Formats: sequence, structure tokens, C-alpha cells
Amino acid sequence: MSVLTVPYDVVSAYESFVEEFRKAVEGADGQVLLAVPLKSCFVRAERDNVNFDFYLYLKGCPCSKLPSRKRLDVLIRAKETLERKSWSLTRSTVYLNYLVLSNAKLRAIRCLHFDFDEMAQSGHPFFHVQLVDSLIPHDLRTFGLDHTPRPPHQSNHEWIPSRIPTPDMTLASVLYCLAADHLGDERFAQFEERVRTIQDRLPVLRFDALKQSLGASKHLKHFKSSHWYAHSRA
Amino acid sequence: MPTKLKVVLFEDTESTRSELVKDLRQQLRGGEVVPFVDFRETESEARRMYEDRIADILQRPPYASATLLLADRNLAKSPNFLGLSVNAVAGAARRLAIPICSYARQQATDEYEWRGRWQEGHIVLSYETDEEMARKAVLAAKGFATLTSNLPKALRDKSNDSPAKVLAAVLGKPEYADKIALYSVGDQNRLSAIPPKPKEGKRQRTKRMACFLGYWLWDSLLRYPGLLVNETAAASHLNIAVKDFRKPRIRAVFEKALYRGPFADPRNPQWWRGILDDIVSGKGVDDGLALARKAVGGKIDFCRCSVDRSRPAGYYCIISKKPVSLENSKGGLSWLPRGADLTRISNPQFEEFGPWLGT
Repeated sequence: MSVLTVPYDVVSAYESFVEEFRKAVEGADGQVLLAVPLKSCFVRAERDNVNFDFYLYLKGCPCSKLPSRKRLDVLIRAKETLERKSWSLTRSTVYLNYLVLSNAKLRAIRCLHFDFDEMAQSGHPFFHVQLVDSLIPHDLRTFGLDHTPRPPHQSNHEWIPSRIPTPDMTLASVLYCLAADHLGDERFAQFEERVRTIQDRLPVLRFDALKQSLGASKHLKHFKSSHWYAHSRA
Repeated sequence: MPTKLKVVLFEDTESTRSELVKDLRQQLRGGEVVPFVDFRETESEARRMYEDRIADILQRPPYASATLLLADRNLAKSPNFLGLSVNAVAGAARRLAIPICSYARQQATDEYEWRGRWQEGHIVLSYETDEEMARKAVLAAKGFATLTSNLPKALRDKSNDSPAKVLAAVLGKPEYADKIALYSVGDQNRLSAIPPKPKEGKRQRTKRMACFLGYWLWDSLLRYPGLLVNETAAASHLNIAVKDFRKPRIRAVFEKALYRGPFADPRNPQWWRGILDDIVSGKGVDDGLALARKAVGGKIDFCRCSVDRSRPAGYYCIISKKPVSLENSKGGLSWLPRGADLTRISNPQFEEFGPWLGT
């Protein structure tokens, strides 16, 4: 599939967001590694769509629960589809592998992915997370790393059918949450401030059914998970 | 831009000096070229450090208010300044916030451009002919004059609270401030530009900021493709063979992206990469090649990777100065500006220069 040119606004929004994340992580003594420049992550897809396929490695993610002789890394793959006419997101799957390096061995401790499809399936929450067993199939040498991750000790097999509703967890949201979870309050507050305007520039996804459900009749004054299945009733 | 530019020339060989003065005057057309030869000093003044003496002399007629200093790197034969090198002149220039270009009148090697002296804190001109060097020096002088003249307005806007935002405003491209900021990551050179105490006046601070921004623009943003792209990098990014990209009808398709800011060089044009992207994506085509074929027709080749000619390129090797593909090159090296995402090093070059290039 051939790389194609996207509007500079789109590339630069992703670039700016990733760079702010990188700065925040480096401030916490971590490293953000990219496999491929952003420009090469946009490829032509079917029906006048564009696929964005992006890999990021967070090396040395601060983790208060790990002893200092171990290191937490996070491998992320974002597979997003944009509609070329509007440059809005129609699909997004962001895969995460949480990896621990211990005694020179790298092992996954948790694998999950956040999923969204504009043509949402019945019985699936509009945006959801699933715990899975599969490692992201990617050679870490593209990041300049020598390790090959091993699968988790503990299987998530029984969890796989469970889909937990989430908000928009496209790439930017995932990085946002990682910053909140791991970088400490002060650093997160700075990051939050710096990405506020960048978030508005990123491609958006349409969530009409969910939005309508949330703003619906006066009887519905809650934020319950049923809203995340509103597309099934539309 | 101010109407009259003044270039002060430091050249210790008389014959070279008169040739250069002639070439500079031809390029400046109405500006002033003042060779650094005639000055008076008292005996006690002449016993001081060279940098102090030069700084004082430069503040007196006929040298005062210079737009640019142009200095030979070896000034050892200078009367009254035996053994002088460009370092003392550069020190004086830094103190007075006057931009300086230095040169060595030997033919530059092919390796000069990429390994060249960007750490020195001033512009080092490569040498081809006297005429070409004079042309580049005048380009630099005009560029710095434009920056100095446009800076006050950019600095009055309080939202321009970083060098990247200031430069983006001066270039008329505030939307590229984030990208420009990525050219400063890891750059320690800026620390030496901070004015010494006691605090300088506003005018002097503006001149100093113009120097800093000018060096940054010349030696980083215009050197490493990412925000701006030279001809080969533009062709590679657009996926148009360089020889085809040179054709006027194809150039015309991308005219709107041509860089016309400070230091714009008609012999070595550059383009705004962001505007190139928008021109292509605005037409609903995949790349510049598709747009060129649609707009101009005829046989237009894709831009071939210089390592594997069966592959389209897309990137630019800073050492070979040729188009290169992602798969046949290395990027993201720690010494490359982070904003220069189109700049890479081809694998053969990387193997040749091995450990020096790092990761």
C-alpha cells in the first residue's frame, strides 16, 4: 500500500501531540521511540479512506509499583482510519502491550486494545477496551531495541469477550491517560495545559448516536453504559 | 528592510580584499562595503585584547552600524593585529550583536555542508568563487536586515513568548511555530545568545535576537529538510524525479509553496513543506507525482531512491544530498534537529561514517 500525502494540519497535529508526550516522558526520565516518521504512517486504504498505522515505544515508564531493578515499557500500535473527504476518524484500534524488563528479559504483563468503529456492531459498546493475550507483532529492532517480548504468564483468555465501555480512546487519548497514570501530578498538569489546543486540531470521530442518547429525554439523567449501546437502537 | 546595508570586510591579503570589495559592491548595489583597515588607536588602546579593540573600533566611523561582518578565518597577516583569527572578530561581533559570516578561500570539500561548522555560533560560508561568496554574504546581510526590521512587531505581540513563536511570526507563518520549536530541541547554542549583564537596551536586545534567529534559520531550518525543503528534498517528498521537478511547468504547480523569506536564495530555492502537502492533498491526489501528471501531463518519473532505484524515495540524505527511501536510510539521530523529519542518512553513508554518526 502506498504512502500518501495528507493535509499538513493533520500530520502536524499528530506530530505536536506526540512531541508534547515525548517531552513529558523525558522529563520523567523515560524515552519515547518511534519506529517510522509520521509522514510514512499514512497509507491509501479502500474506498477513498486513509489508514494511519503508527508504532510508539515508551521506554522506562515510571511505575511506583515496580522495584527499581525492573523497568516498565509500553508498546503502542495505533491503527486508525480516516475518511479522506472530511479527515474524520471512522475507525480506531489502539493496541497496548505493557512490558516489564527484568534480568534482561522482557515479558508482557498485560495486553489490551481500545476499539471503535463508526459502523458499530450491535452488542458492542461504541468505544470499548478488551483485555487480550496477543502481543503486537512488531520487531523491536525498529526502535533500536534488542529484546523480543515474551507473552504474559497469565492469560486473559476468559476476559476476551468482555468489552468495557470507554470514552474516545484514540491514540491521543491513550497517550493522555498514560501521562496521567505514570508521570505524576505536576508533570501531567503541564502536559495537559500544553496539549489543550492541540487536541482540538486532531481528527475527530463522529459519535452522533451516543451524543443524542446522552442529551436525550428528560428521563435520562445519567451517564450509564447504556449510552454506549445507543447506536444499536438508532 | 532598511535602505542601506553595510558590510564590513576583514581580509588581510590586499589583492583578495580589493577583489572581494568589488564583488560585494556589485552584489549590494547601493549598499556600503567597508574594509577593516583604517583606524586610529592610542598606545594604551592598542595594548588590549584583540576582541576588545575590534569591538571598540567597530563602534566608530566608518564601521559603525554594520549590517554584517564578513571575515576570512585566517587574518594572521593583519597589520596591527598580527596572528588575528576569526574568533576574536566573532567575539566582538557577539558582544555588539552584529551578525558575522566567515570564510576560508579554499574550495570546500563535498563533506563540508553536512559536517560543517554549525556549532561555531556564526555562519561559515563555503567557498566556490569570490563572486558566489560575495553573493551569499549579501544574501545573509539582506536576510539579517529583514529580520531586524520585522522583529519589533513580532516582539510586541505578547503571545510570541518563545523564539519559535517569534520566528514563526517574523516568517509570517505562526501556524508553524510548533514545528519550528522542534528545531531547537537539544540545541545548546541558544544559551550563548542570552545577553550578558547588565541588561541591554531594547534596541540592542532586538539586534541580538535577530542574530540568534538568523543563525538558527540559516544553519538549521534552511539546512535540514523538514519544515522547509530544498530542491532535491522537495522532489523526493513529492515523489517527482528531481530532473522533472526542475522543469518550469512542474515548478509552477508548486509555486505557492516557494519560500520567499529571509535568506531565500533564487539559485537554491526552498519550499514550505506544509504548503506542498496542502497543495497535493487539496487536489485529492495521493502525491505530488499524481498532481504533476494531472496538471502538466507528459512523461514524469517517480523519485527513485538513490540506494535502491526500484523504490520511491520520500526522504533526503543529508550526506549524499540525494533522495533516499525510508527502508534504505536511518533517521531520528540524536544530532539531527527533531523537526527535520525528512532528513535521513542513507545506509551506505551510515556504514561509511560508522561510529561518528551515533544513534
